[in-house]
Amino acid sequence: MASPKVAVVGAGVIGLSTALCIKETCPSCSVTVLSDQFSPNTTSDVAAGMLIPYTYPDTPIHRQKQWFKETFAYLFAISNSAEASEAGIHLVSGWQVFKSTPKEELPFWSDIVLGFRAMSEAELLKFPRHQFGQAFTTLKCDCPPYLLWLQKRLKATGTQMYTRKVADLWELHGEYDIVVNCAGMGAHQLVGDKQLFPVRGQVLKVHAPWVKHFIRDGDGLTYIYPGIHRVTLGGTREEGSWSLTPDTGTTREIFDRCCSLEPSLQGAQYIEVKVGLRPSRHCVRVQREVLSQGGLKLPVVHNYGHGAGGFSVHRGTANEAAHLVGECISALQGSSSRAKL
Amino acid sequence: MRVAVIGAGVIGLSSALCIHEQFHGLVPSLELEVYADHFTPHTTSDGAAGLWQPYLSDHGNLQETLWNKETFDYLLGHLHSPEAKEMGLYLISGYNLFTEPVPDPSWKNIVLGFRNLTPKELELFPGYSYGWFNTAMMLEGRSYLPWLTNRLTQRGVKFFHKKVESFQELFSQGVDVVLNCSGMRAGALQPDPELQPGRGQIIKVLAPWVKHFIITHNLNSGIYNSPYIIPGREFTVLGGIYQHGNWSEENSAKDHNSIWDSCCRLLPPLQKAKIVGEWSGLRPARRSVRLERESFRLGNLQGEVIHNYGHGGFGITIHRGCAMAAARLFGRILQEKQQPGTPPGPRL
Repeated sequence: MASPKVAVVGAGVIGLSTALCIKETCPSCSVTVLSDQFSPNTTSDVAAGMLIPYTYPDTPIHRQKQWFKETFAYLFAISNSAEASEAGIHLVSGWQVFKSTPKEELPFWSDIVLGFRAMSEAELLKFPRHQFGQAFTTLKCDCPPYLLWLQKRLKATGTQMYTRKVADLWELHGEYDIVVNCAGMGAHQLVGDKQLFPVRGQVLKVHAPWVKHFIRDGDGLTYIYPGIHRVTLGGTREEGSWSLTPDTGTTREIFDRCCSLEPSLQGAQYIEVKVGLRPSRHCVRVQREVLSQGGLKLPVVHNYGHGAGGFSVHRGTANEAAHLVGECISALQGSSSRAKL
Repeated sequence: MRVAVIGAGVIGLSSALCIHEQFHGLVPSLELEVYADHFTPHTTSDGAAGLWQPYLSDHGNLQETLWNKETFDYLLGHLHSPEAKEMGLYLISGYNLFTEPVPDPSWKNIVLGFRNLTPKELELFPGYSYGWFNTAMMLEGRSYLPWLTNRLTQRGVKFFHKKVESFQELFSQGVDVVLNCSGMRAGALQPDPELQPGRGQIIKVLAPWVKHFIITHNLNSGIYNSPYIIPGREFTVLGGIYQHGNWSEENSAKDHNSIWDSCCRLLPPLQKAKIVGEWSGLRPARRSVRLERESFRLGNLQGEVIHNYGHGGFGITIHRGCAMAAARLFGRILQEKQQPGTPPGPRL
């Protein structure tokens, strides 16, 4: 197989980073990205893109840690290069605060982020309703810039990108040798995965350039994430809700919760409301599969179900998916050379 | 009682406010006036980035460390007030970088979360092997000075756009007490060989992805002669110039290149930042802040001067502590001036 043809379905952070990893590990592959949405209309564009991992209940911790470590290292290098502003990647420091001391004071990722430590008494004075906190420095991937930068890197490798709604992976059989499913929430329909469910998140994007720190309540519901031009205020975690329509009551409520963590947000302006459906699963599906139908075979690599933690592990799962694509190619080459005999 | 403040930078305006807040109720005849030839946005305080951070060492000057602490605590207390935005006040964290280990600074317990940098953090800054991380505050002069001006105007304090040539000039007009907050030009009012310009130049850029201050130190070249990056609300300040004895307020191309090259080396993403301005200013440098009383007697003219100048590159950092100290000196003057025959006022 001289030049395997790989189709990547999905153009959010997972699809684009997976396509890039595939191209990096297999330069002779021809990679095409197919998606019904591109930036600025993907779920990734709604997310703040903070590198603070979400713990998946059913993925082994060492694997999540490896994914996070690879992602952090990759972005860390870009953040300190001349490309950082174009890629939308920057360091940000801040605090995660808890109303009562959590059972696990040291999360699995505490040695990967920078300068992780417990907050001092003096620092906690800023949060009178919170008893415990963690201070650290991490990275943020602003979207659309990060997605546009990934697209630019892909175009430079000759990767084509098309707006196309793929209703069935078998549509791609014949056109492509391998299909990579990074469809996020779309995988619910595309591959009928009933373990995948939406967790609706509503956020506000506001202009408050004096906010230089992130603040996150350990319950994961209230957060303030300063980006390059906008601060993301969140949020909600509504399991099973498919609604993409902003709710005005929720907007008010998010704003109030964030102002109680950071009173200066009262002066924030130009409030924009966005909604995204976190493509949630108890474990991220990074897996190889060979679909079969009437004697035909279609190698598929799945990389979806990142829920609330997509940005934190995107590069790590993209690396793993690219590795699985490599295995698919070897398998195809093996079977094609057997066919030649 | 007529009180004239010379200077409308952060020192002059904050001293005026402290005095008015504390004594307006006690001295019904108190008339406060501010005289300056430059007002915001044309003062030295307007050019400063506005980061609260003292010099590395207080050289045993504990008084100044206490004034710095008083200022920090005062500002921290205002962080959550509705005024904070108008004041230009907000929290900021960042890095101080060195090429060798140094003793902890006098202010390590004043700021929040002071700690040494980890090896991984130092990877961000090749060439620097040691450093600190802490959370401090920004108080942007371009916002704080108008806020002070509004508070003073509301209180009926009068402003005069005028260059005062001498203390006598004011005393002969009937002023009783002069607050000399003339900063760099104090020497024109009264020679002071200890007061020298510490010329600085800065480049203003748009780099909104920078969320931390980064201040490097070169123990051989002295304070602020090593690149620094301080992100504000609207733009980021790049600097690293401290020229002792240089009175020029003209931007120098050589300094521009030095700042630009060294800051881009420190933070490569800055190469893509858009330059939106440049400014030079003179830090009113002195071995120690001159904060003291002086009595004047010239013929039948007499008056009191409270000097409050020489804050170098830490005026914003120390301003409130000095303003309160100046107000205490004013209180003592009032005590001494209590006229016989009038009912004694509250002990000051």
